[in-house]
Amino acid sequence: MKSYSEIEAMLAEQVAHWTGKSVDEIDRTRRFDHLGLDSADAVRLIGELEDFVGRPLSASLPYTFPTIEQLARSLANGDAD
Amino acid sequence: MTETYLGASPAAIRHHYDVGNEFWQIWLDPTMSYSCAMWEGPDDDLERAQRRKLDYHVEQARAAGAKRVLDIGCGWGAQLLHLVGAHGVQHAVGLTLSDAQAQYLRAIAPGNVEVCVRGWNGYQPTEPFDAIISVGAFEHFARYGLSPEEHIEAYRRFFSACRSWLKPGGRLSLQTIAYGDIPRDRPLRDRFIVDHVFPESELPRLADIARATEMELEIEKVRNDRGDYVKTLRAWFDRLRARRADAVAVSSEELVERYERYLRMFAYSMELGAFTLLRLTMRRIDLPGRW
Repeated sequence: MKSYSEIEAMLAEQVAHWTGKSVDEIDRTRRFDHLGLDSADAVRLIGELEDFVGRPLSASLPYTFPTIEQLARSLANGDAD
Repeated sequence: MTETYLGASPAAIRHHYDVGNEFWQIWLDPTMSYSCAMWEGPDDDLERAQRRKLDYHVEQARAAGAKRVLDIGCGWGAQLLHLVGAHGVQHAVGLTLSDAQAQYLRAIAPGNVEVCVRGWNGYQPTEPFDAIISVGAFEHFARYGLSPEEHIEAYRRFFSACRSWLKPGGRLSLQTIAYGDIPRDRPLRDRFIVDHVFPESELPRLADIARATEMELEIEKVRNDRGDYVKTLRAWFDRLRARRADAVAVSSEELVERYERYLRMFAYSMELGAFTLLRLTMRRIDLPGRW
């Protein structure tokens, strides 16, 4: 099981990669769409996350938990399963 | 207005389906059904769910015991073999644009299964059919970039052809992927899924299908079974992952990666309702002496 900080770091890295920013610039409390992600990025993110945490996930997670902090928290706690 | 579009080219279809039969055998179920299954209950498995889907279309098209049945886009022949093997159909005809599929099927099919490597357009059967089944082919019938009117016109030509091939009162059971919760005025930014599976093609919308059937076929029943597709795509993904090394050995790392990505993205799109899976039953209306 991945920890909160591992998942948070992975998400920040992905968002930074897609938006062309540095990891430090990514606000963990801002909504994904406000960070510059669209719905196509959101499904891509879930694919990456499934491999990272090693279990199937729902595609609706980025909407139910719309910030890096919330999503990482729910995955680390197992709320999202 | 340009000429009516008559479906994706053979080259485009081969791009997707002629990867090599071995590749598909690794992750499809033993019936080689490459379309959405019909799931029931928590203990179901892919093969049972695929066979349930085959039965569903036989039942909807009223094809059991029929003399002649047509399968448009027959793939590796799961439906054709099921028609003659389990439902007493006397003669089943399948159309496919893929040489690899036709070769595979000709090698295993009994004498009352006929396979033609051709599209639906311009097809002239020697005799009419009692029933038509088409699963996972309609997605290829409209091209990216057509206007909404041209889209509908392309579909209408297809339904008109189906009507002319059916006996009076005969039915078409159609299964297709469609756009769902995607706005018409905002094109897909990421066309990966559509372009990967359906090169040159554009998916239909329910309203366009309905429009195109007007005065051709009556719609008897519509089902939206996108939940079934989430399960099917997940099952394919799990099977491909489980036998990944074998899949790479008969194709390539790049191809397997592309399919993994596509199967998963497609499952998400179905889960979110951006894409849907439609099952439609249509019937030819005939009023004796209509004036």
